[in-house]
Amino acid sequence: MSRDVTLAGVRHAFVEAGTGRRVDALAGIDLTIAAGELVAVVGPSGCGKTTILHLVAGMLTADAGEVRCGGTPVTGIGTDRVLVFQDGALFPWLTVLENITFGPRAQGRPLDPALLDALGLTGAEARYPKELSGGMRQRVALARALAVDPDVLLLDEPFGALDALSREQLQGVLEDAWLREGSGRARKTMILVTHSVEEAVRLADRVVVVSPRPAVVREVFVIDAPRPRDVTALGEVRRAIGRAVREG
Amino acid sequence: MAPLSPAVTRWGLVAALLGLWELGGRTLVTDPRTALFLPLPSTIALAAAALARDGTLLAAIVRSAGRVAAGAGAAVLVGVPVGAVIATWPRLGAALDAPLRLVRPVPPVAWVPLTLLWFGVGERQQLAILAFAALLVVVAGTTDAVAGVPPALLSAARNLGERRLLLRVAVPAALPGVAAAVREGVGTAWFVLVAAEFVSASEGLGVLILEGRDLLEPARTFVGMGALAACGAVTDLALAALQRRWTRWT
Repeated sequence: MSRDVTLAGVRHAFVEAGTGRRVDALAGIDLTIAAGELVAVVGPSGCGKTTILHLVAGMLTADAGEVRCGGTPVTGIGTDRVLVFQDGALFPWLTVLENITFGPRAQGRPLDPALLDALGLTGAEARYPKELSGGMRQRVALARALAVDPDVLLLDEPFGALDALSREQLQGVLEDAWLREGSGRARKTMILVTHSVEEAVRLADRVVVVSPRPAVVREVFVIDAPRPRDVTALGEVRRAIGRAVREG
Repeated sequence: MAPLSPAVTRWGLVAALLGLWELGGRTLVTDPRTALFLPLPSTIALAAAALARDGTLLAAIVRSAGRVAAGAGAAVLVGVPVGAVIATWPRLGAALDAPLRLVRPVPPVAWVPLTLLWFGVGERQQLAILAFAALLVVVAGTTDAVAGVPPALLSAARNLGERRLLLRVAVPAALPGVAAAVREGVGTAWFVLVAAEFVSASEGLGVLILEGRDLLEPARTFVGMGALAACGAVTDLALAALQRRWTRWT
């Protein structure tokens, strides 16, 4: 089952480590992500994009405004909304298979065996995270999140640290398995934070541009093109998004 | 010519230095008093053989190893939980920071007079010195290891539906650091052994070392020092092997 996510007038400030100053990260975010929709959030670095994901994940609490998932206010961390961390946050003491089985095991459910194949991890089950390339690590992170079959998948620059080729491959994996019509899987609601306009245009149904800190939603672009997309053919919208990001 | 392996270079250097010492001693030292105070490697080897034959060396090693095991063991049993608690409550850690910083630079031998007053002459006083020195190291190492558990791993585990965060995340995440702290604690116990056996021990490697002066047998001191070095090294190698085995993912 897919669920929608809404943020209404969400404000958040954090206390800066060291100086003890209060820094406004979000200054009233209004955003609705429909059930089964993939929304990309782009904006300058350090603008609070990650804060949005942590609020939806329930790892942070809004100072004002409301975050709802499927109509219910978000009050804490839950397996219905799973975050894929920027660096993967894999458990280094567990093998690939054990990492992926972590969630199902905690919930006393079996692992969907098709997942390993879908993410190209067959054959790597017994390896430890430190033995993996960056691209493989992010595949495991994605598989681990998908293994608990969340309604909402939160992606925090999951391909940000990868080389161009791995990045392209992983975008393809996500696209093939969870975005294309007739892939046989129910589409999940996804929020993708990225600094790559190209990635946003390739994967998202809508691209939300947020301003520099304190962040507000600056502009929203609808990407209405069939998948798989030829990003070079979407030059116009890419340039428009790029302009919106630069102008903040 | 093929390059020498590091092991050959390392042990070759030790052998060369011993050879130089033997040769230099035999050719340069003519004064018998100097010869007595600075025994040759061959003299030390003979002394070692004699001490091994009459059982003195083995008895000393067994007694000292037992003390180290008991002292370090107590330090680990107390120090690992204490370090974990300090790391879990940062305010407690901050409060204890200053006293620990003040205590750490005081050499263990400085505690000998007080521990003698408190525990009297005997095994308890020796264990107190060993355990206290090792405890400081184990607490500090464990605190760092537990405080260093990435918060993202705890969040990720909760996000995946795990409730037993301590067992399933904190313990394995901190394990490599705690293992290193234990190893360092055992090393410290060997390091302070002589201070611990300084006054009140009747048998042990530290005693052997101190006896060299009393009996005017410096070779005995050298044997004790060599045995102490070997014991420390062997223990550390064994612990390193265990560490590799139990933390294979690192």
